[in-house]
Amino acid sequence: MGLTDGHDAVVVGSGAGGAAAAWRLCQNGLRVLLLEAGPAFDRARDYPLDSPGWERKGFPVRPGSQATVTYGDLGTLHAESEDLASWSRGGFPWRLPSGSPRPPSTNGYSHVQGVGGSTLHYVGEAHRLHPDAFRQHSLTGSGTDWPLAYGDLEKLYAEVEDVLGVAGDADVDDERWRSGPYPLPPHPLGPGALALKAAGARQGLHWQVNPRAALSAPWNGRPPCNYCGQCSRGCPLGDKGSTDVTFLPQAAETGRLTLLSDAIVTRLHTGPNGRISRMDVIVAGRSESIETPILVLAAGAVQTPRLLLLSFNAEMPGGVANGSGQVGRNFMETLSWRSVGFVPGLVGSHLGLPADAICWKPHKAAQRAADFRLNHTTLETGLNGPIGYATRLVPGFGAGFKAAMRDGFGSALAVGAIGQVVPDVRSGVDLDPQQRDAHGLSVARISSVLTDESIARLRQMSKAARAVLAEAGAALVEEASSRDAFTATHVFGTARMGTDSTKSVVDSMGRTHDHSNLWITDASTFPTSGGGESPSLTIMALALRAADAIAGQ
Amino acid sequence: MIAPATSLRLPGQSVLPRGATLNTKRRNVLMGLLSVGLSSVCGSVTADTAPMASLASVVDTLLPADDVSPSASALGVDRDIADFVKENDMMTQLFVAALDWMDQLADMPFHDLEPSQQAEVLAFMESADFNAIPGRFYHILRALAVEFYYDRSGAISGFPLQPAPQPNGYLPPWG
Repeated sequence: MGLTDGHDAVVVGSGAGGAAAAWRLCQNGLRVLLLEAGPAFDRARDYPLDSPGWERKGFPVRPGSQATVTYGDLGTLHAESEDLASWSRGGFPWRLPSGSPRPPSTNGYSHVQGVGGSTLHYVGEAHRLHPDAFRQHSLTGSGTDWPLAYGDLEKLYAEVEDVLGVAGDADVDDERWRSGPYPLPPHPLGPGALALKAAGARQGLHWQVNPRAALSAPWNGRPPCNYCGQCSRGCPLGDKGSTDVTFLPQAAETGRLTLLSDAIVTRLHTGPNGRISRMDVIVAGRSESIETPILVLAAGAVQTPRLLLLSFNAEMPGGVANGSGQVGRNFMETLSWRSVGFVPGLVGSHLGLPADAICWKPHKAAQRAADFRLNHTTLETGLNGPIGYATRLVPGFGAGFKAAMRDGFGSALAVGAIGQVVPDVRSGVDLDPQQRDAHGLSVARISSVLTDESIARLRQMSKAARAVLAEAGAALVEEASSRDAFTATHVFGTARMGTDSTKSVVDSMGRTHDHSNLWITDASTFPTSGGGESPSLTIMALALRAADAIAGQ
Repeated sequence: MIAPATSLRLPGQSVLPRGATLNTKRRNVLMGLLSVGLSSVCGSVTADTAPMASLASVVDTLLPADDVSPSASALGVDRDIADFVKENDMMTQLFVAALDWMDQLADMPFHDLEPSQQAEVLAFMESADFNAIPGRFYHILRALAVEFYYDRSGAISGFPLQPAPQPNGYLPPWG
């Protein structure tokens, strides 16, 4: 298949939404050209986990593997929320004073641009959205409703779980009803998770196995996890269900997939009847024009709106697919909290599978889906190596410090919380008026302001995290949250889904209201963020739904 | 040779050298530089500025040898830090100024002080104002020292860890 012809559909982005869409389109008999802006990674070469020095290395950064973004209005650190300020017993004794602008963290918009997208560095929580999340406005008066229901996605969720090899326990979460069991049995809980489960039980709260896209047994030629605990640094075994080891090789097996890495889409062009006729792409330094019989955008909630906005023309000065004016609006970040404590007598909290346990209902009185969840986060927050302890948890120096390090290692217990975000009117993705990328194109600028509602939710999250740690006997040593800095691995909402074409960008199937052959299958279509569920499984299920609709045309 | 006991002249913040207080912009730049630098591989240039001579003694005061693991300098941590610091002029200035200040606290340089006096100096710096050179230097140096130290397999003796997470992982049971 050439670059300029021979394909039935073009997919942009090879992460959760792009890879799943490409797989399904290939299954449905379409020839797919998949364009990935970033490089391909080699598990054996790029994920350095078999030699000393591993703890200082995060997921590898390679040329082109991170898009440049800038930040606009991220809000202000108000004195009224000082009780939520980050601190750590062993870290720097300094923080921004109240009144300062909220900065981006070092990671800021944390993403991977590469074959596999951000699934390469995700932990692999495999969550279905709670059925109530699709009716958020109807149930709570906050946010908006989805133009589809849980039942529309249930069988698609199951298919995605099968491709990934999700391990979970179907008996413990009956509110997210299932048509069948998980493909694989649950992973055992590690010592930290067991401590939280016991403490939660004394509180009357239910901690359970967190469904994970990591293999608890061999699956489709992939080996089981050996619990190295480093999912976000890249999985060298291939047991984590990133798309480079799941959807993409299965799509390639059909013989109908052409995958190009380092292929940067710079502009979409419209043609007759409002269709997207072609796109400009830079491949290996050369500019190409590629026809787009069907175009599926899955570049994520930052780069997808950027491309739509960059593609403005005389007829569409506000950008492609933006008749509603909603492209780039309704941005939702990851609202997160973390509390860490030392638990006397706890041994081996650095062992097990990261994010192995979750509590979906942190309030005893909750009748419906909660607006945040708690999870065991000791490993993925970096407390599975001595550097994490030394730089954050254990203060001091000298022989006493070294002894305290050895004595305390394995007894830190971290509770994370992720909560629902309702977008502020100031939040969004637009084109930076000054900064350009290497190709002279405006980069994406992220603005994200926490509303009073989000701050109030953070406070609830902090109380719940502190309460379960207190029940576990922990003495707090560190807390951090979205209050002090913008850090987002999950971003949503910038090409929202809806039935009203004046208030949304895509319909319930993912097709743009304005262009009959332009579809979007990433989290930019999410009308709401959910109650703390990780979004990858829902992105993938929506991508299958869109691909089936495309094939059915 | 161990120097005879000598009195230390540890100042209050009010007698720090003129210009020792770091303004907000400089502080933010330093913090940013430190954060960026810690995630990258250090260069190969060795610091040879005179005050840096006490660096090995300082990191060994932070991380001395004990009956389980070697000292920081025995694992080359002082050289790693010197290489790292050399890559950035602002960081170099901070280190030279701070180490020079430490060498002026007594009639002999820091590395000739008694171990108890060396510990006393660091204890003072640990609780000093983070917005002045002694306090800022302590926390940056400590962050670098523990990161480079526990990065070495020789430092994790006594921890229930393998040299690296792979290829064996940590299979259950974990109890």
